[in-house]
Amino acid sequence: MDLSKKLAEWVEAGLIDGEARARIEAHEGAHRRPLMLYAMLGLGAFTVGLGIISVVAANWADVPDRVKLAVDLVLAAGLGAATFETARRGKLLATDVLAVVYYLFTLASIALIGQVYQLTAPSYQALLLWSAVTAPLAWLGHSRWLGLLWCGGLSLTYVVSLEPVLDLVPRNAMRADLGVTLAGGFLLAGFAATRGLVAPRKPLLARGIHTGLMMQLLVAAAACTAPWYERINERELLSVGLVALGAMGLLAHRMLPWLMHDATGRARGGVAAFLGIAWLSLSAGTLFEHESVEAAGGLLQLAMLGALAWTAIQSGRVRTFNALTGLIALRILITYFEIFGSMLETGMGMITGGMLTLLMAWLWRRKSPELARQLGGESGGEAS
Amino acid sequence: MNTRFIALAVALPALTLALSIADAEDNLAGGESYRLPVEGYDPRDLLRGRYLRYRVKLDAAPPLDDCTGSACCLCLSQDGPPRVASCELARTQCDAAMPQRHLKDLRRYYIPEGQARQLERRFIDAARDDEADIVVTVGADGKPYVEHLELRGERIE
Repeated sequence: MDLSKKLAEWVEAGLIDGEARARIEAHEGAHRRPLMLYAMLGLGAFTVGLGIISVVAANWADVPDRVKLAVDLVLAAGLGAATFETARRGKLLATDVLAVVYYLFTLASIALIGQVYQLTAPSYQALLLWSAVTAPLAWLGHSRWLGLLWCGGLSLTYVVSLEPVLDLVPRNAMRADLGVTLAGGFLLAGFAATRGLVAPRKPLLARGIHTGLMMQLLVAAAACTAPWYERINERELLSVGLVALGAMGLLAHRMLPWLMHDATGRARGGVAAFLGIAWLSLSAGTLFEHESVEAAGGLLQLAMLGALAWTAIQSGRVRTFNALTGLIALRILITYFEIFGSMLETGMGMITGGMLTLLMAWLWRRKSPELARQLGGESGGEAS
Repeated sequence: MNTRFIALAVALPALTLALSIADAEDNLAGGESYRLPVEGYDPRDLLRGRYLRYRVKLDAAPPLDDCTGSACCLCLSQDGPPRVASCELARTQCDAAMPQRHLKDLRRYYIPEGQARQLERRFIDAARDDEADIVVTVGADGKPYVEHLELRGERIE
């Protein structure tokens, strides 16, 4: 929202006077965080880290191995000393930038040592070592982007480390059961740990981790409709994993008032519905053998998007609601292409789909004033 | 924030890197070197870069005795090809015994990106003529640590 533009509109409409406008602008100016600067610093630190990884991966032949290792250790000591100094002095932004570079630099250095000494240990061992030794470093940070990056690093480590665990299970079906159980467990434990351990001490870091986990939850929920897009045979059926996921879903439902402590009851209901639909989709799709049923997958995705849109509107997040409505309209169109095959059928589908979209737009136009009133009365959250 | 915790947070990664280097140096410094014939090709790893993927050739000499699964070792000697043997025999009769399960660790040899194509061609040519070897040091527990690759007697690093 452009605050100056809105304030000018409100002054013109007689809602506030010039004095109130000046006070609001002074208050917002004093509390404004340089978001663009934050974003650029985060992006810059991340890019430097990736660049170091890429240089290491290039395995530059002109520099002797011993020199590479010596430079690496000197850089590690330098980064450590600089991070120590900024953290000790309480310079939050500088600490976060250095922590991001040091975090990625450590991964690159582990890879460098593996390269120089031709270490052939599997990747998950390197990632586990990296995640373990950099956990206190990440805890030094305070920003959302460090939280998001840390969440990504931990998730990558977890996913790659699943492979040797799954290798312990001989049967294909049991592997899938164990896989979905461990994936669900990771997300539930991640949300609980973020809320219980990180948020009270590092609220912004927690928000970054939360964003990362939400992104993974959305991908996981979308994956729950995947069984409807392919032929499921006996070896791909799930059993114990569905029970375990269901139990975790119930536990998550019990924990929602704590996990979403600042949300309304209806918003929590939307999240519960979203999780329930995802579980039902996976269960119905993997309990028995069947051919591909794309229409069912499409409808289930629409239902999940609908539950998310409901959550967004109940949380007062109008922009998120608008984006989800657009996604729902797009998904309806895609469903038509999935259902219809020949050109005649596709053409009919497009006409019907187009008319449906027009109908939705018309309804949207008619209902939006009512919606705006509802939001204005219910929430002080994000505005359009 | 507690200064001790900050010191731990920044020192832990650097110390781990230094200890990893020291451990790798120690593993290579300890024992004799053994030559294993290899064959393979050249893909890449997103973190560690390009590497030659190889497989240790075990068909140069017949097994010394019968063994199955985890009871099998490679009988290594300074002047001959590796031979499959029961670990019991290998530990008493050979210069070094390497449990056969460790063969899965001998698959990658990291190479400079700028020389990857040329090395790949040389590697394939040398392997075809049975002149590609991986030189390893074997630890007390039989675990192999790669020293270098040799193509037609030339050390590749």
